[in-house]
Amino acid sequence: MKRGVLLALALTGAAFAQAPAWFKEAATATHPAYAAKVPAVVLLNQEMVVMEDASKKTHTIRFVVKVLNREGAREAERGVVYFSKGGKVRDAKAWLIMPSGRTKDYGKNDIVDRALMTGVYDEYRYLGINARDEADPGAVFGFEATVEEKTSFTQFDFDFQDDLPAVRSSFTLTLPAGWRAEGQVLGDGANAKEAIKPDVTGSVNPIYQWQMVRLNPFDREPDSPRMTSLNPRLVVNTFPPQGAGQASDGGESGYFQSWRDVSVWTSKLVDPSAAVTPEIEARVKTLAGSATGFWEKLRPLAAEAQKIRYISISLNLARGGGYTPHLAADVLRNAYGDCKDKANYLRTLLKVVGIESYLVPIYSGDPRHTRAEWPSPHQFNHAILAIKVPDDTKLPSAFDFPGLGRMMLFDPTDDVVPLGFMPDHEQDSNALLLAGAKGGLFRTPTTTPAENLLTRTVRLTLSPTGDLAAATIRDTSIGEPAFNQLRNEHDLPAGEFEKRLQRRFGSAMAGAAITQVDRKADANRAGFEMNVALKAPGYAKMMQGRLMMFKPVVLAYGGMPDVTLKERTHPVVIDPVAFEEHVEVELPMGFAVDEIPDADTAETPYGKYQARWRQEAGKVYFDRRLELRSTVVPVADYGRLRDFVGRVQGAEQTPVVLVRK
Amino acid sequence: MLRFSALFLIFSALSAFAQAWKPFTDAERSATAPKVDKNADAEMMFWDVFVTDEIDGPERGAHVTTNYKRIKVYNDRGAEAQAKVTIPFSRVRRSSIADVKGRTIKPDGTIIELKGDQIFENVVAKFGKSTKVKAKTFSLPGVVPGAIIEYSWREVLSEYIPSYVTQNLQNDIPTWEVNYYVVPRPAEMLSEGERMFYYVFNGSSPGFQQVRYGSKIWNKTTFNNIPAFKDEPDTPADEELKMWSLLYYTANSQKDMKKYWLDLARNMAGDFNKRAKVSGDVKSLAAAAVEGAATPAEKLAKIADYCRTQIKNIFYETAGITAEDRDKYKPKAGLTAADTAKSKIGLPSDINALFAAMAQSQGFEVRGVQATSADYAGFRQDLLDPFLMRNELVAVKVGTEWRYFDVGDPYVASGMVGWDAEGQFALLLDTKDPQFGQVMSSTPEQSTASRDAKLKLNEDGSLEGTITVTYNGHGGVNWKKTLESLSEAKQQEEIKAMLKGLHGDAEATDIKIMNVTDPRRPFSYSYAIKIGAYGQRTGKRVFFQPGFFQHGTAPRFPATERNYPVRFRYPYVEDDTVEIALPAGYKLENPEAPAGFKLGDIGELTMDTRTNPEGTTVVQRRKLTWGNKNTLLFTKENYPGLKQAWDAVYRADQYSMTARQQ
Repeated sequence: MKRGVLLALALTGAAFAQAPAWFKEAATATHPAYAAKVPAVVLLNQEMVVMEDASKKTHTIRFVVKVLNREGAREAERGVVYFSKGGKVRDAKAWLIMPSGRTKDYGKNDIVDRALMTGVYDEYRYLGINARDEADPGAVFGFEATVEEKTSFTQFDFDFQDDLPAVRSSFTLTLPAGWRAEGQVLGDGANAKEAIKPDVTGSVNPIYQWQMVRLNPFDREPDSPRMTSLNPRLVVNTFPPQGAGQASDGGESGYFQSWRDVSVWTSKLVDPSAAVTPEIEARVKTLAGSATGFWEKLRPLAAEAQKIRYISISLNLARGGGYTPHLAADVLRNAYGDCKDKANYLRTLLKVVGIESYLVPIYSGDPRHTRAEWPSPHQFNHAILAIKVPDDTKLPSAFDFPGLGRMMLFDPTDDVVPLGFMPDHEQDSNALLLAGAKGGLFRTPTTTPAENLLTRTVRLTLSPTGDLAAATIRDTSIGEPAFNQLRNEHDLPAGEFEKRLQRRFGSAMAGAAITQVDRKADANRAGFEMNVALKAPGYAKMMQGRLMMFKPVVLAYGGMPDVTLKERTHPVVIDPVAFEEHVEVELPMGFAVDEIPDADTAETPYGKYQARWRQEAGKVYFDRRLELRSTVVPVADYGRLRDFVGRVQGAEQTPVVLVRK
Repeated sequence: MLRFSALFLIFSALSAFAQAWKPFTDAERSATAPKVDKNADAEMMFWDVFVTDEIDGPERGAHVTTNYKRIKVYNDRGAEAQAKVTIPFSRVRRSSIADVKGRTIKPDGTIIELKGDQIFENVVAKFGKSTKVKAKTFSLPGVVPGAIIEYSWREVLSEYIPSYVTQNLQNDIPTWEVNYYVVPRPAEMLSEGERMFYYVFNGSSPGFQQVRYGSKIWNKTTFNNIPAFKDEPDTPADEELKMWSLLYYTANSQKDMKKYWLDLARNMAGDFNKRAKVSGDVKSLAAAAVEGAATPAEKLAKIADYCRTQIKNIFYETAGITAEDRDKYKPKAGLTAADTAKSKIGLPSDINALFAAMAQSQGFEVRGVQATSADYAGFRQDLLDPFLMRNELVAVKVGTEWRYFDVGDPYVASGMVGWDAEGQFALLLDTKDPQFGQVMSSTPEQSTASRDAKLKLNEDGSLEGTITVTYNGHGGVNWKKTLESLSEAKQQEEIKAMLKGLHGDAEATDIKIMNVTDPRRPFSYSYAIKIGAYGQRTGKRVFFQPGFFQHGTAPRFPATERNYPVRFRYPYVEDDTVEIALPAGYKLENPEAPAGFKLGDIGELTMDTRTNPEGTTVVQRRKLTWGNKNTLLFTKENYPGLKQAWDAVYRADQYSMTARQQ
């Protein structure tokens, strides 16, 4: 063998020798064949936690991924999230075995350390190593990091996978002597169905290991529950030795056996922030000084909290800072705050006028995320307010809380949803009412389709040449469709809505020109009305100068579930909504109806639909009503849902044919 | 190199200039209506920019920019958008941000200062030991509609003096006044004969006036009543629309513009000629590459082919390049054609130099070319600096004509250059005979999309069949560049997503994608499809649109008004053939179809729709030609006519035929 070849082999060997044995072993793991679209497979996803005592933990993260196609290169990056105050990444290394067999090491000079900034400042940081640019299909990337953490939390959670398949995924917990752990796997998807028990070893310090193998890839599908509520998620509680006096102290020290415990612990953090100061009192006097009735006092104060700009500044996270609002007086001075700041600010204002209220942590965006079976403050990402209201209050966000009476939820972070209502992504969700020992988990109210109704009234006048000589469209809405309009009002600069509307009509009908737009919200901002007038040349299609074809539906209804996939692996989430449309078409002189569609009705567990066309005295009428119920449609019912949606959308395309008399 | 004398000023000199708040009037404080744009949510009352270059150590300079903005907020949206401020800066150039301060003046006159502990410095990203991207972030306190907010900061680029200093002068909100102050770079920091120049794009400067501000004499220029810049689709490059300025230093004393540009072309030729020098290896390569070529054009095409297919291009996915190849590649200065011929890997400029050397070795007269780009600000004759010359091309004389090549872009078809180089001003570099030129433009036919569909219409209105689409020229380049770095599975997803836009919920199957990374062959794909509700079924008839490729599309220009000109990137042709077999027992009812029309001198729509003698199959040939004579730019004033023309095309495309049951 030539000297150069020997040297090359020695160099390769030397490079590979620097990679640890666990990485080399994991890199050779076999895996099933996956669909060509699967970009990479996780060969090892491992987190090992050593708990020295209740406050000091060391996490070691190991991750090995094999790149399967070009997109898989982006998976050749891994890192850890840590708190800049209270956390420290002790070591981070990575390795890449290229398809040629060459191994590249990554060390300190390759580390990316960045803020996970969503607000003005955030102590959450990410430290990782990125080998994406060097990772061809076939390459294997490995990462290891150790994070030291000082935090009062003794609960853990671990995601066994994201959307990649995983060959082996495990969480190992080493406890102080005498401690024990209990874990459970949450998740509604197929990969979370398998029950797993931990392997427990260790003579002095108990070592628990939960492991899952051969996890299938997760397909992202439109309108499905979120991946985090479908995929397997391990949640673990730890308990000190019997008699240590911490596990059953009612949540005082952060050991949670019930939701009441979580309420007690979190209430302790939030309550001091609601201190009333002279500045707060003065502000309340300005806003509601002369008010006497309950609602008269409440409305201006709620509006004030809603107007506070949303800005997130997260400090002191390791010691519960993520749960502690800023002082209401600071929020008043700055006129900004995050969700819990805004909720707490309103709570403090209400305190001045004698209205009771309670902070409510909730998971915004996925009502299925927070599980009753794991009492923990880690299950929330948002805060709203529960306000004590008169017993006869019947608004959609009102509910009864055991022991505290009639309550009404309000989200001051949502810029537009008014008092008495809730945004749809917070409805029918587990949430925690923070009232010390009186607090607990509850289910938020939901709305009916009729409470989220869009009614469209259309009048069209056709000319003998097929032009839309005049058209008026009147949309009146309540509930979520109205809130969507209010969001447009709130977010878009003046004139921009009109431009977008023009583009929308211009895209639906060549040459359509809007001549007038009026929009207005009703007094309490729970309803919205929009009137549009327009003209469009050549709207109806003329054929042979004798037949005229037109569609009575000028604008398609945009609120249908996405059923574009032929098949699905996850359920479809449907939000409650209703839509009514009444169209009146004045026919051109000299034309009569030649063909008009038959009526159609459909009823399913998730919605119902009726459509009817009729002619009368030189006019054609089209009326339809659609109702979608709040449902999660199982995969087995997807075909039926698709047919239902197809019928609704098909009716929008169905033409009426006129013939010259 | 900078010429520093013994004049060594200590770094503290950089902080000698401290920004004081300017007074405001009661009228400004209580104003409730916008001044420049009545729809504005907020307006910038003024923006002062101070630019200096200073000496902060032996052989070290610092570039210092101080910004001071005052903004009037008119409503909640304005408060939301303007109160949160992020000032990013990078450690790559040893940049630092200092003296950040801010305050809010409420409508009642109350002033709330931004406290030091409300200003945060985040490491947005950190690479390795030292390279960091940081940001100063803060949210101004107490911002309500009617408030005035103001803030200032100073950015220092240490140990780095930029050659060019660009300054945006137009914001996303209207601006009453921009004041640009500059102290010319000290003589110690300039090379022999260098002096300062200032150029304003898409606006004009009234010229500098000398003013005293702080301890310095500044050159000041002011711009007033600048509207907000708003994004719009299909516009020329932002640099052609927005107001911005360029500050630069040059030793040029030439005032004769023509002479300046020719001298520049003469001076730049040396470097290119060194890189494109013919070596023995290059000569052999070229001789082998042109084997079998009969004409000069064939020879050049073969050399271009060789460079595109046999040399791994660091920027593209051709010639089987891998991430490992890229990882190993270490660019170095002064690389020659011979080096690239040997290593078989290079940057686009290296590959162009190799092409030039190979062409020269075959006896062609060759020039390096510097050209402007349509993707940036176009040529300004009076900007006497190569700043805008962003395209590097090669010109080869064929007969009496210069032909332009860019083999550094592997996907550009032979005889064409990238769309952004077409029609651009060019300098043909030569030490003896430098020349001006204009890069050739392509014809619409050179970028033809050929689309063929063989379809069957069913009685229920559904439509099924197979489709083949081939893109030549720029359209093909776009597709190749979009797809080349994706896996085959992802390429299929991209095509599927595009087809979903065209055919709605119908799912395309049997998708075949061809020639994505092949520099020679045109990009092409084929698929099968079944569309559920293509035709509208009524009791007796099925209505259907023979313009299959236009079915479900929206008008090209739905907006009735325009802020900026419309620009098409390149001329093109759509050449469609659609064959639709009617359901058994159906015949067309009094068939008639539009014949098409001319679109002035710019283009034409032709349509030829026929049925077979049995009346059971419809065949439509449609050809849309657009951009004749390289007419691609339409002013705001011409927009209504442009829209009208495209609406007419849309309506012709959307016409329906009627099949009636016999």
